[in-house]
This record gives sequence, structure tokens and C-alpha cells, in this order.
Amino acid sequence: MSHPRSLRTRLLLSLSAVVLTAWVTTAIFSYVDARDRIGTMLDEHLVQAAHLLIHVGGRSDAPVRPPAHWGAEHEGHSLVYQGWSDDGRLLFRSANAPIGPLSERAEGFSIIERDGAPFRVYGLRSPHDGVRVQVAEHASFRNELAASVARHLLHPVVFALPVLAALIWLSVRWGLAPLQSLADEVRRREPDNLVPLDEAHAPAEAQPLVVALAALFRRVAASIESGRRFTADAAHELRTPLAAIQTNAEVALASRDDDERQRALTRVTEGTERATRLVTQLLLLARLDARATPPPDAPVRLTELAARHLAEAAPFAASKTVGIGLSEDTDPDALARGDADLLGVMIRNLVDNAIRYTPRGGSVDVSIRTEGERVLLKVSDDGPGVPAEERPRMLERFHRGRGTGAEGSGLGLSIVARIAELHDAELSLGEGLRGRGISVRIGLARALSRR
Amino acid sequence: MRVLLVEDDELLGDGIRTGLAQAGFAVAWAHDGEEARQALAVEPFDAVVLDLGLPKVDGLTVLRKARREGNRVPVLILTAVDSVDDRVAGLDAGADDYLAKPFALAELQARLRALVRRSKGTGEPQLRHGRVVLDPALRTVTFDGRPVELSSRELATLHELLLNAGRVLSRSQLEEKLYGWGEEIESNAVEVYVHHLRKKLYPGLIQTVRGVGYLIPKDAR
Repeated sequence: MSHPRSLRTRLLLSLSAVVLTAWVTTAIFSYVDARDRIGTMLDEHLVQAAHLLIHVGGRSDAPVRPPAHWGAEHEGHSLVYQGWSDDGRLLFRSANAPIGPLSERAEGFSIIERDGAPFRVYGLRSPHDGVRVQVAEHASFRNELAASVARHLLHPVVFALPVLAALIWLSVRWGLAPLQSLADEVRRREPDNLVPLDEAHAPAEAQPLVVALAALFRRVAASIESGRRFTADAAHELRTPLAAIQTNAEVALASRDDDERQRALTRVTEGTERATRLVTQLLLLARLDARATPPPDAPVRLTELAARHLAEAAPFAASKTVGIGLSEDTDPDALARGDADLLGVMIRNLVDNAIRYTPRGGSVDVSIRTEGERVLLKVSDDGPGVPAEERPRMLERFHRGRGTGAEGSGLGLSIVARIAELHDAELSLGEGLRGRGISVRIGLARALSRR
Repeated sequence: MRVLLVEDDELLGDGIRTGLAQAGFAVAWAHDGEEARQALAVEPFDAVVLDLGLPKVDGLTVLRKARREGNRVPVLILTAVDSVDDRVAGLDAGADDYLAKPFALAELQARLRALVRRSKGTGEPQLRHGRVVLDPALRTVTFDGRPVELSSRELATLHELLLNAGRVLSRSQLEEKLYGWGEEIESNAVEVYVHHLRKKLYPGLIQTVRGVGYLIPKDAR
């Protein structure tokens, strides 16, 4: 059986059931009690009647016989009696009494069955002349009386119960009103209203709920705010390459000089490439942001992965005459735990970034080592580097290394940081090669060798 | 007209520089706030195109500092951030106009012409001197209503002299207005342009003040 979810219904049902049970129990006890008392009373009445009959009609010389109508129906209550002499003659009887003795038991109380109905019989013997009297009445009479008493007790319940239910309903409503007003407040809220609920007005029982809601509101607000900021930043970041494309396109259209037009058109394609790269990075970051579940926990041959991405980056590096490669201390069998695709994106961004910010003739080194339970991936360059106090800002979105003439999206390291976060890996920034440049270190969890 | 372009983005800066040069502006290009500050401190400009998000010193700081030092050069802010608050902040910091990226090059050119026009105290877009009319927007010159074919530099020379009608401009002042940073200045170039202008229009248009410079007198009208 399913329990009703509404507190009000639960309270209403349980309170009504308790009240009804209490009332019915009281009625049953009253009925039993009334029946006992009525039994005692009517028994006394039988005894009295027997004494009276013996006294009045017991003597054979008595001038008065008990009136025959004694046995007549009287308000549904009929008394049956017989009087016997000591020698067994029937002295008198009521009109409704039989000729034979009523009960085999001459004295005291007994129950007999006559014409299918139970009778209560009382027998008495006179100590003076041995006259015996038996008086009887319908036993059902006393049950009817007791039932009538119980019925009278139960009658008000029929009328009072609906009233009581209404009162219970009102009480429950009154009791739950603070909860209801809390619910109304939440329901009335605009979706962007994330101000915590007023704790002072919430009932004590609902405090944990209000506190939990406030914490949830804070988290949702922070996430909405960061999403909003990201979208705004992204839109602004796209404006500059778009402006560059448009301006250079207009320059090309207006130009009467072939060289100038050629140059402007080259700028248009460069601007388009930059906008495309920015959009690709934005989409990637948005997907990574939305990803809450940890990446697949598979063993990844990190050095192989790095070698592949270094090979892919080689043409770009060559165009800038930047030397790239794996460092000599790299562990060729390093096995990290994580998602090979994401780790590949991470390595590509790190290497790309390093090449981008390293001047001509510089070098970029990738080193992968296994240290205890960690696999350390380090990408270092010997470029201009970044002062230690500015390094934390490097991970901020859209932060670009300035004064380098490099045209990055400003998202590469944010993407790296997010992938590291998804892998539960530490990221740290340090000095680069030969005391110059900068290095990015990622400590990944080591996978156990399958061999 | 000499314009200081302050823009850190290589692609966009190059486009604007070329585009403004096409419209006859001599462009000096500063790549960061520090460079812009130095340029504003030592050189006169007719207008400044200022990007706000700059390395080293941001655009608004450059602008405020220039205004504090009494520099009244017309400034047009060029930025990716175009909320009302940002526009208000830019204008309150002393900017004269505001253009959000991306923009049409023609609009940037027209706004700059309007800024320069207003700063010279004339609202009329065309410059007139007697029978000579110069339209800076169309980059045309007419003499008695007939179009006159002028080279870009000749037109710029005439434009400067007309803008400063009644004042003598030295050869070096004219060179500054005609050439952007990094452009090679041919010796005697200004004399050659003036000579051509006198020939194509009429000899008495430009007067020489020996040892000082050139002058177009204020229009007699």
C-alpha cells in the first residue's frame, strides 16, 4: 500500500482514525458495562418479584392471588411466574406461564429456552411453608436495553465525526501554514531570483530544508554567473577577429593597389582562421564544462600519445623555427589513467601554446616521467616566460600572453586546466628550460601495468 | 590628417591602418597603452582611434591621463565591449565618439572626418575656398564645379591647408600630417605637391611665406 505523500492528508487520516477508534472503543466498553449493570438491576427486580409473590400468594389460605395481568406484556417487558405448594401443587401462575415447572432448577438463577427464546429464571422457596415461586423474563430484553444504551452513546458520533473531521482539517491546515507559505514563496519565485529564503519565517522543522535550499541557490547562482560571464566574454572575444576580417575585406575592396589588396585578403583569411580556432576552442571548453562525470578510467600510453601530437605539431613548429621533441629522461612506457582523447587534447593545447609563445629559434620540450603513483607530464619552453606573480592569471579564460605578438585564443590553458580537473590531476606552473621560459606540469594518476 | 591608432591586435590594426590611409589619413600605430601615451605626449594628432583592452596600460587610463594633461585631441573609442555602461564610462573619461567592433571601415572613416571637422570648429562637411571645393568624404576637389584630378598626397596637402586656412603651416608640420609612422618622406615632397596644386588649380591659391611655410588665406567671403 502506498502512503499518501501529502502531509496534510496523512495527518487528517491518522488523526481521524485515532479519534474514531477511541470513540468506538468507548462505546464498546459502555455497552458491556451497561449490559452488566442492567443485568444486575433486572436480576434484583426478579428477586424482588419472587419475594413479593411468596409474600402475597405463597400462603394457601391467602385471600389474594397475584393478578393475572402481571404476566401481560408491559412495554415489551413481560414477567412469567408460577407458584407451587410444598407438596407440588400448582398454586398460581401468570397467564403466559406453562403448566409444568419453568426451570428444573428450583432455586437461584438459571437460563432456560422456551419457544426458541432465552429466559432468565429465578426460583425461591419460602422457609415457612415450603411454597416455591419461579419468576422469569425474556433474556433478550436486557441485551436490547444495553444495545439501546450503546446506540445512544454512538449516535452523537455520527453527527460529530464530520464536524470533528472539519476541525481536524482546519487544525492541520493551521499547523502546516508556515510550510505552505514557504512552498508558496518558492513557487512564486522568478527563475532568476536566487536570493536565499527567509530563515526567520520558516518553521524549525523546515530549517534544514531552507539551509539546504540556500546552499543549492548559491551553487546554481555561481554556475549561472560563470556561464553568463563566459558567454559574454566569448561574444566579445569574437568581435576582434570579426572586426579584423571586415576591415581587411573593406580595405581589399577599396584598394587600387594589387600588393595592398593581396595583403588585405591574406589578412582576411588569417582573421577567419583565428575566428574559427576561437570558436573551436569555445565549443570544446563548453563541452568540457558541461561534462560532470569523470572520464573513462582506462590506461593510456602517455608517451605514445605525446609523440603522435608532437609529430602533428611539427609543421607549425617548423614554420616558426621552434625545435620540439621529447626530453631524454622521458619514460617510454609511462601508463597514466584517464581518457586518451581528452589527454590528447590536453597535450595538443600545451604543445601548441608553447610553440605559439616561443620566439623563433626557441625550443619546446615534452617530458613524461613516472614518479611513485603519479605520471608527470611536463611541457617546457625557453620563451620569454611569465613572472611568477602573473602565472595564476594564465589559467584564466581569454587571458593572453601580451606583448608577444602571438595570436592565441586565450583558451588553451583553460582547456588544459579543465581536463586536468576532470582527471583529478594537479596542475602547476614553473620555470621553463635552462632557467628561462615557462613550464606546465600535470600530475596524473598512474595506471597499473597490464603485463 | 594625422591619426593615432592605438590597437594591439595585429590583424585588425593592419586593416585599420591601411583603410585609413586609403581615406587619406596619415596613421601612426601604437601597439600598447605605453606607446600611445608617449606618442600623445610628444606629437600633435588630429584624432585618436583608441582600443580599450590594451596591454601594459589600458585605453581608458591613457585617455584620462591625456585629458588631465590638457590634450583636447578628438578621441574615438573602438572596443569589443559595447554595453551601455561601458559606452558611458568611455565617453565620461573624455572620449568624443564610440564605435563597437565589428564596424564598417567607411563608418570609422566618416566618424573620424566628423570629429576632425567639429574640432576645427566647422560643421560643414565640404571645405570651400572661393572657386575651390574639397569634399573630404568623397575625396574629390572641384574648381568652378569641374572635378580636378589630384593624387592622394596632393589632396591631403590641400585638405590640411584648407582646414588651417589663415594659418601658416611649416614644411615639417605638413609632412607630419601627410605621413604615417614608418613611411619614408621624400625630400622636397611638400614643395612638389604645392607646385602641382598651384598648376592644377590656380597659382594664387597657396601662398609661400619664405622661410616659414605655406598658407591659404581665410576665404574672403
